[in-house]
Amino acid sequence: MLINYLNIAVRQLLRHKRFSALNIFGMAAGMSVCMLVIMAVRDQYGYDDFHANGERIYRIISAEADKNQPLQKATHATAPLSLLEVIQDHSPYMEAGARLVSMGDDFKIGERVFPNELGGYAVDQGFLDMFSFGWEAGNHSDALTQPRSVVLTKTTARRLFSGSPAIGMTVQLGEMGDFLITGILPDPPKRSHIRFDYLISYPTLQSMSAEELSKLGINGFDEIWRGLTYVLLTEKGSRAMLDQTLASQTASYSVRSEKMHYIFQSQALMDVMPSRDLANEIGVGTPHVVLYFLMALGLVILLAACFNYVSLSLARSIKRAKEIGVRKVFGAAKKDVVRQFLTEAVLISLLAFVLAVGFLELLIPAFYNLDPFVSTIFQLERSFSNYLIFLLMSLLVGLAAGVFPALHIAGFQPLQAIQQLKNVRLFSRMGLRKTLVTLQLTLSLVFILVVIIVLKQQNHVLNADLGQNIENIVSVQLQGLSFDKFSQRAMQVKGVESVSSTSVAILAGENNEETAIFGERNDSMQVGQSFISQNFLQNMSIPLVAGVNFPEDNYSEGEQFAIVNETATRQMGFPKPDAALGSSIVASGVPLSIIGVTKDFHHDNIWFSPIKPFVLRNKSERAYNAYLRLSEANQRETLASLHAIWSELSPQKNWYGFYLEERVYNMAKFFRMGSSIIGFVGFLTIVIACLGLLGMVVYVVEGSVKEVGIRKVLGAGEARLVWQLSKGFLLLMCIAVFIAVPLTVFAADMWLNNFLMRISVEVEMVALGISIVLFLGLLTVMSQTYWAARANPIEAIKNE
Amino acid sequence: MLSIKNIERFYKTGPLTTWVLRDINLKVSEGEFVTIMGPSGSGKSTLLNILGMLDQPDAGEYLFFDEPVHRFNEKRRSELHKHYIGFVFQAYHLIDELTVYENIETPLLYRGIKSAERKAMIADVLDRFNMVAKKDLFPAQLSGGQQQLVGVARAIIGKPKLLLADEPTGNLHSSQGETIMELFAQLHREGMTIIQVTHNEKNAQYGTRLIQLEDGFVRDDAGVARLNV
Repeated sequence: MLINYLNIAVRQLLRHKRFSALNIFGMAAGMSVCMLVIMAVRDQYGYDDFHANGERIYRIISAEADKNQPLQKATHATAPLSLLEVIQDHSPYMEAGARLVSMGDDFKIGERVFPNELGGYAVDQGFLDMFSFGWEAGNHSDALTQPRSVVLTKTTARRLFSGSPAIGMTVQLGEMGDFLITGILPDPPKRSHIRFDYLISYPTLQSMSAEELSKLGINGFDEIWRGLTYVLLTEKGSRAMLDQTLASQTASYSVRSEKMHYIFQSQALMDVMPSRDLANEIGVGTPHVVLYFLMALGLVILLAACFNYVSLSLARSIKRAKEIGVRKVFGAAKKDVVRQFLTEAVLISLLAFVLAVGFLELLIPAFYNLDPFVSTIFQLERSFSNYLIFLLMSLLVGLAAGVFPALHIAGFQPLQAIQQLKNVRLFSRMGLRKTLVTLQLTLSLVFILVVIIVLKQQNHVLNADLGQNIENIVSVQLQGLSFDKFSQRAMQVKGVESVSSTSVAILAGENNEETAIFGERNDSMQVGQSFISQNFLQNMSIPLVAGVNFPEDNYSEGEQFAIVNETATRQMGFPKPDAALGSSIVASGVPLSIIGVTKDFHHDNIWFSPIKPFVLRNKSERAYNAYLRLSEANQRETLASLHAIWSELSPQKNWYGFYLEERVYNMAKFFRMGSSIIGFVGFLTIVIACLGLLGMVVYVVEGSVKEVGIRKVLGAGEARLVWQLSKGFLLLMCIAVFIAVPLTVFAADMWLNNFLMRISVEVEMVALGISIVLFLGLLTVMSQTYWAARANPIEAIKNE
Repeated sequence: MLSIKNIERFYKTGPLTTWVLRDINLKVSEGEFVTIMGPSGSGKSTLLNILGMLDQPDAGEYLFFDEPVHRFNEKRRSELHKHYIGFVFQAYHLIDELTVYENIETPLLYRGIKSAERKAMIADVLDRFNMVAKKDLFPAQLSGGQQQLVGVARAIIGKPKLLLADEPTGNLHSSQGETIMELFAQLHREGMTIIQVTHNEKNAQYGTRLIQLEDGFVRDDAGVARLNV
């Protein structure tokens, strides 16, 4: 029976090549996108699955807040370093635990320096016990128990020692001094959220003085910012037990602290990635939302492809009616016909699968090229399991797409099917196909509108007035180099117009929040703060709306002045900026007098972070970043000279300089990646919709060949005939517009509200979107109707 | 074998009722060769389709081997139809994408007959109809007479009790038509019950009984011999 079904399916495919090609191509296009999405999503969900004890490993995540503010859930991936010991003391169900404190320092062996290139963690011995990163050489069971021990990855060892044995040698790690190499690890797998080049023993930190620790950014072991904590439960232990201990510690930490209260929670290792949007997250990966979005896109495009199949199959079924009628007269039950048509659908889906696997090879590079950021996050794997899933997906798609036409066709009454071949329920089926094509047009229009709106929004933000001029500004991280030394030399370089400094890299993703106290009642507010050089405002073209800039010499009598932004004066309750001049503000404990007020300028993430009250102070020893303004010409040479100066002044450190404008742009990497992906998928949806449209038009035209012939004989002109045949499409297009436009505009409006600086959706954007879909649709329709209208009428009539 | 009582069939278009069959009563016994004749639009084909269970009457009873067909649902009807009835159409209605062999095989597939048995049955029929050499051709490669031979072969392959033929020779040359009618006569001699619809009086000669329809009524029902008088 199956052979009979397959036999007829293959003959049908071969006989109606155009129909088959449309069907297979459309389905394959949809499938290939879905395959790409499956690859990407499986990649992201495949993180950390190589740990033998993975199911029993939990990370402790936390949050803290002022006691008067509510605290509901953990927002930080980090937890206090002191927490692990406490819970280990309280719990018989813990097998191992480890803290991770990120380190990034220069390695030195003898005279050779490897500046800043390697990253690693200070970890407890428990790290080696609980995780399955493997082991190459050295003593696994106590490699990290002693202070000043370091374990290297294979690659690091090869880089440092070029192949000669590393165990037992010493390396110097920045200012921390000498470390003994006690072990070699394989490189951590790509899909691990914990990545490292070396691990030093946690006891090293415990042996350090408070001052040394502070240099590493550890200000007391109760701070929640600096380290990550992982625990491995015993086989009998349960997450509930861990949560119970964490709850009691939440209470006891909060009691101990005067000002703050805390929350500690557990997070299963497998839940770490894809990332949950926690602060201080160490794993780099796509946020959940993005993955959900990708999956939704994949599903939508697959649906579009299925609609295509349904629409084309129903169109074909008119021609198949006789066959079905005959089969039914000779004993075919409904279920036999359903099976036959499902077999055909599955056959087509399998052929589409083969083609889709080919398309996928074109899609993968295209996907990587969407954005440089993509390849750092996704590793699309051509694994056997992936292809197996693709195959299953294809079968499912075949069944899903086939079931509706199959049921519909199986419902034919045999007598009608045989006797009235030309018009079996033609009308109702046309209605369904019209619905499907309208749906596809609607989807296409939605995608196009979304792409237009996203691109407009992106340009809007990038061209927005930031309250300063960041064009041609190069930011350089000084990494301990004296600003005066650097600026003296830099000013001599041709093409450098001015050099200024700021402690916080404004607009480059850095943020320094402080509490400022002001007014007679000692009110307080959270402010951003940066220490700048006297010429900074001028250099960045940030205008003052009141008062004056810092005086040239602000130091002789200690720090006296502060410049604040307009938002700050408003929060302090001054009706006008001028009124704030001369009033006092205490910023991080230092009383200052407000000498000037700047116009508001952006200082944080320009996409999402609003302008906050900001305090500018003038203190030369906090000059961590140099902001240089270059002249327009020959910037390449200028940068080369600056680079050379850097190598001379600071030979051991890497140059970290970048255009501020570029950095601002890069902050939106997910956003940019997202809009490229939508554009990409949108394009494919339109292609599929056009294929569907083409299929429908082909059959409408074939069905009306005789009518066209008669009309022509009666003297109808070609233009009139094309119009006659095409006007149905315009009606469908109108319906699609009525559905898609309000829906998209409404959704886009909600989405745009997330942005600090948003556009409003305008008529011309909608008009542009409609014109694109209309143009492509008309092109498709006309290609067929024009051909039909041009055909020789006698042929058409004779054939019938 | 079968009997129908007070069968009526009509179409309603707005306020108008168009009668196709009115108050038809008929009994057919096993082994009969019945011819239904009548002018165009007299309801011959509709009656045949009702007897073949492809169409349902609007009123009346239909007993097939004492089973009340008019009370059956579609599934039971098609089950009955599948096992007892073979059909031959004026326009052959072969499946274009299937070869001669496969066309003949179709009813057997739906009856779930095993492959080896199928092969034997089809080989028999092909042999009997002298079509062995043509078994791998497609319908489009055959003449009308040959196509109708395949149509008859397909109709009888499942050894039905009742063979229904709707103008089986209507599209054929007279010599081709004669071949088909000879075949019917032979099947009749072998014991098959046949009901045919035809315009052709010569074809009616092959039958044993003639039913004349006019405007949906049975005008006459008699042995064929009377016609010859």
